[in-house]
Amino acid sequence: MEELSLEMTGIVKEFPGVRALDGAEFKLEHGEVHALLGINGAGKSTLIKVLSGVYRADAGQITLNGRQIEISSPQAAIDAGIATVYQDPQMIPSFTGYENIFLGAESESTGLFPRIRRKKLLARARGLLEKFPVDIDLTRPVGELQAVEKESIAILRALSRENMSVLVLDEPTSILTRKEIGILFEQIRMLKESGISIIYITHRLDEVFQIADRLTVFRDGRNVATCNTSAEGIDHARIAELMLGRELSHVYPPKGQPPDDDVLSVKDLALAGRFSETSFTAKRGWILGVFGLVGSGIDDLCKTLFGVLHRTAGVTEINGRKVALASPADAIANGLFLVPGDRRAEGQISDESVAFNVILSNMARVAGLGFLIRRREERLAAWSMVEELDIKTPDVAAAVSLLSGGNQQKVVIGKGLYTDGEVYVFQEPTVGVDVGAKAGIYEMIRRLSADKGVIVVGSDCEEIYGLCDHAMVMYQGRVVMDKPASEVRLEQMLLCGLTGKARE
Amino acid sequence: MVQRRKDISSELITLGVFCALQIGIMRVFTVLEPRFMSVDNLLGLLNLVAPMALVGLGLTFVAVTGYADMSFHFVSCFGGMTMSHMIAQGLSPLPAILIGGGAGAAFGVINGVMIGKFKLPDMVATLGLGAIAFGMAYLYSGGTQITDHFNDSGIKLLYTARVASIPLPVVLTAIAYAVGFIVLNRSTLGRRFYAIGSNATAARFSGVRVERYVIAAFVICAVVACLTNIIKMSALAKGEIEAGLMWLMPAYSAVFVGVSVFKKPTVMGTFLGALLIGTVQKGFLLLGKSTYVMELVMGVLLIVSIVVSRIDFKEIIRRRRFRAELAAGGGVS
Amino acid sequence: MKRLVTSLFRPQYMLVWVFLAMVVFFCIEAPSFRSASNLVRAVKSSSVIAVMVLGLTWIVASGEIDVSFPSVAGLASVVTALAIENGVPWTVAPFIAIAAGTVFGLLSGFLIATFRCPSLIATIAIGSIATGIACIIAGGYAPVRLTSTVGIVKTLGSGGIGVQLLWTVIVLGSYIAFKYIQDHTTTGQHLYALGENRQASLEAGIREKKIIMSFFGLSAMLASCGGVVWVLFYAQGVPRMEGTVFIDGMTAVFLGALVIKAGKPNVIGTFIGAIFLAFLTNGLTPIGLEDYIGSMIKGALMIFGVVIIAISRYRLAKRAVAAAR
Repeated sequence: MEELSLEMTGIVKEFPGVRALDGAEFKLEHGEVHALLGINGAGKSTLIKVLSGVYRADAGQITLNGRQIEISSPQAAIDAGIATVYQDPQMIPSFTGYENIFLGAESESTGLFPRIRRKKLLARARGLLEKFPVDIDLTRPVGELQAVEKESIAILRALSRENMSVLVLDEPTSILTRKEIGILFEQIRMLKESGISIIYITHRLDEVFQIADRLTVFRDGRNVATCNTSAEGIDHARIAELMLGRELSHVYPPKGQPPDDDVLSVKDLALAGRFSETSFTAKRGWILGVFGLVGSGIDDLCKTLFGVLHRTAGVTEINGRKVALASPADAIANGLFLVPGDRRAEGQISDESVAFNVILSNMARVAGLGFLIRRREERLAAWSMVEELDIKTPDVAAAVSLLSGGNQQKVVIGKGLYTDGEVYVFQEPTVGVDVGAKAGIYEMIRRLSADKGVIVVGSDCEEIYGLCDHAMVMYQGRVVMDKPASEVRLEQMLLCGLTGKARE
Repeated sequence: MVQRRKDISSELITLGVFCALQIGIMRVFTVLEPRFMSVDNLLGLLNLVAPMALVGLGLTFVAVTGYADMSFHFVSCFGGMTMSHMIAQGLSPLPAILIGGGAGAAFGVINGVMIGKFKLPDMVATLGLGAIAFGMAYLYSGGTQITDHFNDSGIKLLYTARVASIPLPVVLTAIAYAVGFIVLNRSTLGRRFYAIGSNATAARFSGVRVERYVIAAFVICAVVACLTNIIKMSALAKGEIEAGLMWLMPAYSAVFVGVSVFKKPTVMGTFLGALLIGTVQKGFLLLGKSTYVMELVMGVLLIVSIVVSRIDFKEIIRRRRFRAELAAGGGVS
Repeated sequence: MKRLVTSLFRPQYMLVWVFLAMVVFFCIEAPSFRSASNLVRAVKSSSVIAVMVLGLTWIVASGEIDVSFPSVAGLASVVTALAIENGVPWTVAPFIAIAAGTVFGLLSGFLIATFRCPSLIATIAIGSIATGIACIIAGGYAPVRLTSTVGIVKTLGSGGIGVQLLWTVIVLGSYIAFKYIQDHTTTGQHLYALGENRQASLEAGIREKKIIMSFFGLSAMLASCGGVVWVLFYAQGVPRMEGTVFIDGMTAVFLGALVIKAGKPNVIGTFIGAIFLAFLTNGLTPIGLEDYIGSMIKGALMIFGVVIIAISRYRLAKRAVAAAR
């Protein structure tokens, strides 16, 4: 058998409370593009972090070009010839493009104070541009560049390593336009021909068939299948089945009842420069779904509605009463709650306990004398939420950071439910949540919609489509579709979000 | 999910180590000098610990919200001098103390607004304001000591008075700690302070009015520092500008010895820190060492506690076992 | 021509203009400010502060803080003074003091790099140990005065212009060397990278621990040099060199951050900051203002500085958002 470019065997990586990788195997041949697939939390990003030295594996072996190596740090990975381009590449904003490309490798001299020859570096960077022709000004600070250009810089940076033999691309197309994706794929083919092996992580199945030679599917910390993309019987549905481990259709609860009265009504909400006048309503017994890709303005929409960002126009009414929401505190006081999209940064206080988090937004409910927390009440309140949402935790005093993603999300939702609000906005409700917990969350959202206003916002087209009774699609800051869900097909909705044009 | 129990136990181990350390230190001093356990000396110990614990308590609030305050010692100079000036003007002690504390509160508000509202870097902004406060402390007397009316106004009682034979400063500190403990550990306010320190964005999304609490933390820190310095001035029986400068190190030492025990700033931890430092200092003083050993003691204890708490004993044992397995040739897969 | 004028009045150079305006104002208002002895005094004190905070500049630029520099400088000054008093030749004594000071810097660096201890806490601890030891060997808080007027001390203390010039040249030389390292070597590149985005720097394989260790060592070494020169200039070792030295040093660095690199501490900025402060201090008395006004002005300047930086960052971020549209 031919020698492999990279072989990872028996990789184990544990985090408190979670076994992210459980004896994972991965084989990469020379000069192939190998797609790595799996739902969030399947372990593929942990595997990449082990490979790039961000994490250290608890057990397992890594063999590169027939030689066993130990990757103890990011530097060790780079030295070994493994380069990683992340989704949102980390850079030094005030440094120019070429300075970022050669950061950490400015000089080969090992003297005490190796000199930087900027002109030479710039010339070398321009040389790289010949290999990877993108239209980019390398002398501008990257802080002024667009996301797409930053990604190009990151790829140039990977190319600058002379000995690079394995290139990891972590969802590189998620922020690129279609034209740019075409260019990127050209580059990938060129790199492949020059003998570089590429690991390609993506959520977009179309891309897998366009660019990859083989694919490996991860589930629950293990690789469950590896095959050629051209193999018989391998199509979208089969891959989805492998990723999920069960049929898709069972996940979503049945659709809701015919609409009842309005709970929330928003008229001409706008944030200058981000999204234009948007109107929508949330009704009891009914779920409003808002779909949009990253950058379509859905994130700004949620934050503006919730009072995190300050609207430039618009009126919000809750139960027919006009409310001024200048801050999240105002919003919560008026019965509007947002389950934010970035759970770790915006949703939870990770170091604190489940009980702490659950009561945080409405502590008055367990307070005596207006400010003293009655700890028995607090525990009872937290336990009732744990039971209601089926949160898997040994105790309500356990720190949230120790729970799995799905249970963390349930804690954040529990915090919202505890405020006993009128309107709930769920932004990307199942990011980093495993399949089992997903179904539970969907059911809970559906149950909640019986007597509250519920809006689900996200970039996961299938999820929005599966959940909502009324579909709205945003594209570049404006609403491009606003229809009852029964009148649209999933493909239409996705296409609309991708192109901004609603076609029949 | 056994993890949580493991966490609790490692916290208990550290707490145990510190309690053992405290008792051990007291034993050693008792052996070296039997008078260490005498009532007089223990009262003296409390007198030494009280101001350190008090000024540390104020800083605990700022540390809980995740910021650093480099101004409270400068502000305490201003607060103290304001009080002295009021006394010299013939004001009675209580209003003088209140005005002194109020002066501190004003600076606390400015700190809080700069950092909470305008998001200025905490270290530089507080240092700048501290320099201003320090300059303003000279406004009253141009730098000379203020002694007028210190002997006849009754301000000295703040230090000399006793409640049930316990010195008033100790009693005040105990009350402050009781209040501080209730606020930070048992009240909704405390929850919000901790939420901000742990994740300010998530706290905001949870409906916490972050700016107000940041301002409150800086106000508490400044006011408590002023009160500590006012007590010190009543002990010195004069208004001395540079008296307040010494509070920076004890406050940080107490808070961060506490942080190394409980992994986050806590009222209990700050008290334990102050107690530990105070005990060692008192021991050395009793053994006839001069007062300037105090700072050395503070620094060494702070470093020791950092090192002890950051060394994860369990991790070391685990690694050693892992290495032993490797050496024994056992395949680790 | 117009471009030259506008570029001269960019915010980066504002402090320089303020400085020049201040000097002109003092010269007109107070004839005694112009006297040679006053200028020499200003140069003398600014050169001491400038050396003390040269290393601190890089520490702050790389995102850390060192509050122990006055304590280390104090320790070094006491060690120097005592050594000379006890008959150690003046050529040797400074090196003992500098070595002793550097050990403390390496210790803070070790605590920060190995135990991931916040640098504020580590340097507070190290600072109090240094002050404690300085007080113990000095036998109290009182300054250790030099009684034996050994060669160089006498010359320097009495203000011999030649030696003064030599010292000034040494200070300027080290600043030029640091400027070169900062702007033209990988060390400089990496320290700013660390300060701006630690995560990215680590991913790029920058050796954080090595840099942190050496910077704290370097900072303590330079602080000790400042302490040694203090003894040579003022013929006394000061065990507690806090208060004004601390405020002056920090102000020099943070004010300096406004110059040249708009928001980032840099050695040229620190140099200008240190001179600025020294002239400010030496100019207040001649025009009849008290010293403490200086403290207030410094504090106000520091806050003014961070506000300007915050505004320029805000504008930059806004422009970046606009560019992304």
